[in-house]
Amino acid sequence: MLDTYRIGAVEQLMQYARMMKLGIETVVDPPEFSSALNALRYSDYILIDTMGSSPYDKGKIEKIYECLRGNDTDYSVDVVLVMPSSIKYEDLKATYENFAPLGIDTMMFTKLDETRGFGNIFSLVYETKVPISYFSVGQEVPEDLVVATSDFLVECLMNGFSRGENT
Amino acid sequence: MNHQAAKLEALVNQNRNTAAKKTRFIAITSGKGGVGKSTISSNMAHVMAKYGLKVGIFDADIGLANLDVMFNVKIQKNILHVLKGEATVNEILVPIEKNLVLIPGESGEEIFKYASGGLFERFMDQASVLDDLDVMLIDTGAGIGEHIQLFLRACDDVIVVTVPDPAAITDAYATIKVTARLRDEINVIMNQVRSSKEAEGLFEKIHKVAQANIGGGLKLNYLGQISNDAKIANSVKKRALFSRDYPSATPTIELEQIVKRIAKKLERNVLVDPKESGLGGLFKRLMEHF
Repeated sequence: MLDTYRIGAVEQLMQYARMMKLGIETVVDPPEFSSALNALRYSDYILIDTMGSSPYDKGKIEKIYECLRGNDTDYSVDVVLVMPSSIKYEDLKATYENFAPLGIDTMMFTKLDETRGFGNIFSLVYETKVPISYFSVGQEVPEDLVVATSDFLVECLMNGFSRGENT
Repeated sequence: MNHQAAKLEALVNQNRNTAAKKTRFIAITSGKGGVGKSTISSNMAHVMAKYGLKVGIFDADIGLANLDVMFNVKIQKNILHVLKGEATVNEILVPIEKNLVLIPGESGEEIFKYASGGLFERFMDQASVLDDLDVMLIDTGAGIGEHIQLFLRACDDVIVVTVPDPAAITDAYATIKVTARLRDEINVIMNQVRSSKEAEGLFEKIHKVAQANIGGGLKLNYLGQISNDAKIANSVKKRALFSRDYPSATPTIELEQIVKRIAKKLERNVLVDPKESGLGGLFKRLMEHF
């Protein structure tokens, strides 16, 4: 996990790791990134939580880029861009463009339960051709994280999101 | 529902109770004595612990338990005291380092005298404190004795350690032959080798002979080699672990590769019956053979 900037972020993730009995490593500076990956190499999957940042904060994005670039392990890192579904299309697009240098493999949209319009998601996917991996539809862990399907998005577009019916 | 992750917590708890404890029991054995079995066991335990696996190492060398010397620790009580009811499992555990505990053994012969009666039940209840472990390495004695075979039968994996000299190879083959009656997969580590060509050549020979005489049912895996290196003898004399003293030396790198191969298998084998897992499960399986 790279998010040592936000107060309480490490503690929160630690608590999740403890609950699930998972190994966890903290990276403050990009050079530590590879050694942290190596320390977790007994794992099948390593999830890397990065520091959240404004799409216009070039410094923070650059730091993530440095981590990925300095990765000298055998692992190739999948980059997932997480965005709230409740922001305007223009903001989604700017966010995508500013994070694109990291090499976005898939996108994920959160807060589908907090909006009534999903055209922004559709437009962004149509425009960028980048697949969506997951949607989050609430605050419950873990069942509010759902694998994204086109049927699900179409249903949201046509009839709106409602709990229990779409999922 | 009092917090965000209440369902996650419930899921985790559910898994803890039903789905599985996955302590994997790995027996390390050899045909001939003095081929570095205990040195490899103790260093393997250290490397696994360093990688973040929770490791227990159990000294089951009949009559010749010596892992305390390898780790340079003093033993007060051992597993026999537990079986006799003179100590609890927690009292005999010797923490070696982070993620690594030693379970001191004594004479295997004597342990098996306690097979009957309620003693084992009591032991098994307490042994659940060890169910947290990812791996339990069992350092068996050398040879093909009956008690060693019991351990080899009860473990999930068997690793046979040998060195290139002909007597050791012959004895390793004898161990493989006897063990093949009990299980269809056996792993081999070649120790004190001078070149990987030599090691692989010798393994190929054992493999060929095994295929010809034991048959196709046996899967003989080559786990890797540990090169001959004066640093190892140096560490052993100092009662230290070579993998800790010389983290970048060739034998340490080789051992790390072996551990990685073992670790790959660990994750694949997670769905075991909770009753059959853990140290209690191991002893239950051991006792079933009486």
